[in-house]
Amino acid sequence: MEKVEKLEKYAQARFEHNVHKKSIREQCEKELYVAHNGGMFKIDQGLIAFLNAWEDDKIYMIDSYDNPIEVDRKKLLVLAKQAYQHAINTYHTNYEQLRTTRRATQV
Amino acid sequence: MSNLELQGEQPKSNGVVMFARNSKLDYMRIAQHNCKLIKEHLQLPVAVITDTNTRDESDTSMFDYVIMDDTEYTNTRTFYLKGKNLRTPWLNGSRSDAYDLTPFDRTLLLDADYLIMSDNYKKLFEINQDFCCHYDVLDVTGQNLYKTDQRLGVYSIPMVWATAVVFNKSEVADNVFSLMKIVKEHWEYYSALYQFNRKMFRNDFALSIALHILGGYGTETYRIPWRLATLTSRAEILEYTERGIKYVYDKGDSDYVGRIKQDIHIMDKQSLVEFI
Repeated sequence: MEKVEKLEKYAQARFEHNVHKKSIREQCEKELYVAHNGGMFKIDQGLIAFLNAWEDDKIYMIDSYDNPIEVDRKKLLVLAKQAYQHAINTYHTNYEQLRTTRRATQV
Repeated sequence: MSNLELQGEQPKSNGVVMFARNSKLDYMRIAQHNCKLIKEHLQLPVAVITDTNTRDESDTSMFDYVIMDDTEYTNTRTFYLKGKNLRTPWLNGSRSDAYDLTPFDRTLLLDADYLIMSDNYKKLFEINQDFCCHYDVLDVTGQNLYKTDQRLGVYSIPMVWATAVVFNKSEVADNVFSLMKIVKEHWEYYSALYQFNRKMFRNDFALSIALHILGGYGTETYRIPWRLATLTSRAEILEYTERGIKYVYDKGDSDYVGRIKQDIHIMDKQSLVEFI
């Protein structure tokens, strides 16, 4: 019986951990959006690589609303890298705090 | 140079509007608290739309605009709070007047109990969308309690949420709010047409119908690209500090505890009032 209770507590702690992880992941997700020239772009590694690799400074890109937006490649690249770094760093910090605590509520 | 600037337009005024009319619940106190959060995170002016009774018993000095709305339209809503039901008048009927009442060119219209804890909504003031709102909800307790709220009625149009809405003074937004008013005025007709419970007027439903029709019968989306984080009224707030909101979710034999620090729609308004 004691073993069952221990397992129940473990399962509950895992549930709380996973819910909290989902919450901090969601927070990260929101921070990965940037507005540029009237459009909204979701930043990921692919977008950063694309902006880095493209040679022309003015390009047209499709945003999150499926609209073609005139993009200043260098400006968006700076914004994208800032947003990406901030979002992932925050996620990392929050995740490390979560990982090293027994209960999610101790975070 | 942004597309708006390219069109040679004058700089637009931006701001946040909240409705706060007290009933058994002290919505003004929640709005006052949220006003501080908005100014800290979004650095935008805040307007509150309230009624004479609420204004007379409240300090409204922190708001940049106080707009009076004494319309009598009243719903009764039952909130599930701390395991008990609380039936209270719910003065939510004038939301569709927000377009006429807002003092701003571009407005973030918020439920007072949608607490702003980040600067994410600032981005929505920089995009060329005349109207946008949330289509998806995140139940932060992990219970997925809103999974049935993805579609509205048997005709299954997308359900949208009026909790946070961004709009310009524009033809699109004017039309959306006008149609919301028509849906409200003919609530019985629309509830029969779309086959949902007509007992209580819901802005979410009126907005869902208006956007579906005006968006070319579902061919256009007005989506805010991230989800609307919500803390269900079945979760009780235990602590609210700079570390965020700690809550307990009662699930039968076991209580689950969690903590959140992001923009969050609080359904347990009564326990929120106790912590602010």
